[in-house]
Amino acid sequence: MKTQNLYGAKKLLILLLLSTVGIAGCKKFLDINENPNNPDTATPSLLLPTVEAAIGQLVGNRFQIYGNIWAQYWTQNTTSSQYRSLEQYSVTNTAFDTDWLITYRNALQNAQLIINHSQPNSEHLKGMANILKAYTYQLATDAWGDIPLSEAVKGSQFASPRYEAQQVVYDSIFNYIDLGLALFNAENATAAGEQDLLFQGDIDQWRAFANTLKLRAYLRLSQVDPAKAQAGIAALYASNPTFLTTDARIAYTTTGGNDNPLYSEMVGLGYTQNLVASGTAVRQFNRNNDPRVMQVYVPVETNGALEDTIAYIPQGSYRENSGKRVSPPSALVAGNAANPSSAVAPVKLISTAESFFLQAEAGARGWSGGAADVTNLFNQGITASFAAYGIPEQAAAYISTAPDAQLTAGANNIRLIMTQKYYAMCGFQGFEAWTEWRRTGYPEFFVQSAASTLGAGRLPLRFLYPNTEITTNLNFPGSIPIYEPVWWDK
Amino acid sequence: MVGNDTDPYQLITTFTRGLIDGGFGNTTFPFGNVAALMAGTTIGNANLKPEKTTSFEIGTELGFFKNRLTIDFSYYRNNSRNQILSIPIPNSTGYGFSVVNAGEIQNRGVELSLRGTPLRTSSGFSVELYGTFTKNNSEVVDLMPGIEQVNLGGYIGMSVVAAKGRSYGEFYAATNATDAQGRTIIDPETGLPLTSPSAQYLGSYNPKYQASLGANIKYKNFNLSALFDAKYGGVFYSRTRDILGFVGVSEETGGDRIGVIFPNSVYLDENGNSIVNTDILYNKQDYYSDLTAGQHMAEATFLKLRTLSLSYTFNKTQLAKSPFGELSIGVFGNNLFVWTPESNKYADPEVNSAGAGNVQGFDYTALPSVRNYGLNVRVSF
Repeated sequence: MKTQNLYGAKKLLILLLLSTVGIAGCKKFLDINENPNNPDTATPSLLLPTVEAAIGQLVGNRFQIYGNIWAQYWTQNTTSSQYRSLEQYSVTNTAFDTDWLITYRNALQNAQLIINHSQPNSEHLKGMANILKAYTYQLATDAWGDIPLSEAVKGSQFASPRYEAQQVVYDSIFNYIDLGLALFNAENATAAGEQDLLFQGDIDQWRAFANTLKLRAYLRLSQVDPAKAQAGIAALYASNPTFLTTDARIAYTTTGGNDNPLYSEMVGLGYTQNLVASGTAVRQFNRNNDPRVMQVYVPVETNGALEDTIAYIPQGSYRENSGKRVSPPSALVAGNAANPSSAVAPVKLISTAESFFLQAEAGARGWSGGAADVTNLFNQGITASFAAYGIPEQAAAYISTAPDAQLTAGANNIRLIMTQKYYAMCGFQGFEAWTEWRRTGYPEFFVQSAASTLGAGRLPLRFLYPNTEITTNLNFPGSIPIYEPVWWDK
Repeated sequence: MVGNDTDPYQLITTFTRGLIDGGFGNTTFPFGNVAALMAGTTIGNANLKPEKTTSFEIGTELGFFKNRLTIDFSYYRNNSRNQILSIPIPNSTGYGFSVVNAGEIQNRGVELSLRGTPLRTSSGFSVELYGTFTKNNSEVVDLMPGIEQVNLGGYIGMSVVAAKGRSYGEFYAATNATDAQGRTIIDPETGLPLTSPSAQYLGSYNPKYQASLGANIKYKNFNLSALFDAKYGGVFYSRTRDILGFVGVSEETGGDRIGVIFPNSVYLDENGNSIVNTDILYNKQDYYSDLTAGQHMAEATFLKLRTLSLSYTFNKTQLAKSPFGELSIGVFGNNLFVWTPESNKYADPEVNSAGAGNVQGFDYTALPSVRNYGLNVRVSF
């Protein structure tokens, strides 16, 4: 009896084991609801490149075009028409649908999926996702002001995400950066390697990027809440931070779909040269006898030879100058549709020059603690910009002679630091340049577009909310006109 | 009661290959050797239920005067529950679409058809008339709990929605801001209309009623027939109107183009009171180059002469010496005339660029219905 029983139990166990395998197999191979074409899970290291590429499309294409036109580096060409509504300041809500989609669905959504992921040892990837989330929220709030935040990218849990004040968004940005920095301290975390398009998994670079981003974000509050900006920057400097000494940038190749986003856009538009040099920026480069002007724009050809100056038109004057040949931006900044090397221009999330100018501004405001060598940081910024434009050897002469490079003591410093930062961002960082102008009012030489339909004295100070939110989000707070400043813009 | 299911693989949220669409350009993975995935477009719904439709219909078919007059009448009411919809949701949720069972939608209406022969003489003269009248009222009775409106889809800034208590398929978009009296509010700085702060309901694509009237008139060997078709009520979105305005060739962009007053416009003083605009000017080019989606609507009412034909049929005696068994010749024309209201000078309201589905009433610069005419000869041996 006893043996028989045991034998029976064994048989039962084997049968049970077999049936478990059978059930598991069933679930795996016969579930008709599982889509065989698309996976239903994704690891953090497969999601990270999507987040970075999405930011690349925003900063390098959509925001780049708006930014470079509204920062008056570029203007609509006289022989084409793609961006006339930007010059007229008459863009509609629909124009921003794609920007919003990339922001929330491609960048923030996938960043959040990394942060929520249960895979062990993915602290570094999660740290990067937090920093990129902070970066994207800053882009979004600087563009649109109040935006969905704590209820955003939560799928059907919040079918109509509530909008939160820009002040709250900024508080969260600092929080995300701190979360990211803390996660970088984890040991034994899996390295991101080549899946990280920005720094190839180099955590020291990520720390510097996070610190520089934090400095940028606090300085953005300099007009609306200087006390908070000062305290935040003091705490940042007290942590003995490293700042970027190389560009935080994504490199592109000539392969279609892997090429520079702005160039890819121009290819999609049939190689039309819509963007050309604006007089607002070119005149100032010329006034300072600045050799960078020949690097960021391409002279037009007459009788087979390149002219030795840049041909420009006043901002938005495509109608008055109909048919006139104007210099396009150079391939160095991906702006030349006719030059295939535009494809390999990088997209810069934060540039080396910007890093130095941010530190210089913190120093000039007396917020960086100790005795900051503002002049040195300022000159390093200019030198880094000359290097980025491929003429490092000409920086010294410019620093010693250009009127806008002569730093003296006093409030004047902020004006010169911002103006130099403006020159350094030409073509590469249009949105940030326009944003810093909104914050500080520098540079002071912006004009109203000749094509403006906005009424006297008005300039664009924000993006419009996208039409998709107006029609689908039941908590949509209402449209705000393009000339209304955002919260930090005092 | 009838059931209905949906496309496969709508229950689970999936991931797709990384692709960032920038508008005209894009970034596509693999990026060099780097592969990437991204969250899919649609939130899956593991609790999806099949659709169910309950129908009620009552009708009658009557014949009078030895069937010289027949009447066919029916009344119906269909209640569809748990309609499976893939609806656009705010991108700020992280997704673009959600598959849902949407409450209850009711369609009720009447169908009437009449056919009569008021005149028939021994000389071979007869007049036959026939007509139809259909009227359908659709109403969104209920949506998901706590939801007042779902977006059914749309194009270029114009959405079609199902809103509780309204008819199924209302246009919904931003348009020009108006005051309580319906006057357009302009920006006193520019003379141009302001955009409404939120989206507005702009009417339904459903007509109030449809009707047709046809006639067959026979005299000896001649046969004349005509068919008129009419749709009354409803609106449609006309991209043709948009493009004609954008390039400045439609009538509304004509006349004085520079320095004119926007018709029936007001501006608001600091207390929000309307002040009639008598002196603030705008240029039409600045306005028509970037209209809000709501300004592209047009009335969908029309009356069409659908077919008109005249034929002559030879009789047996006429054909006695010919090799033909039957012979008739005739002229015909289809879509010969269309009458639309004064306000629609843009497009044929019958075009439907979106195909069958929830999103209808879109003229996406489509070709209008074809007008054709010709001659036909019919023979048999």
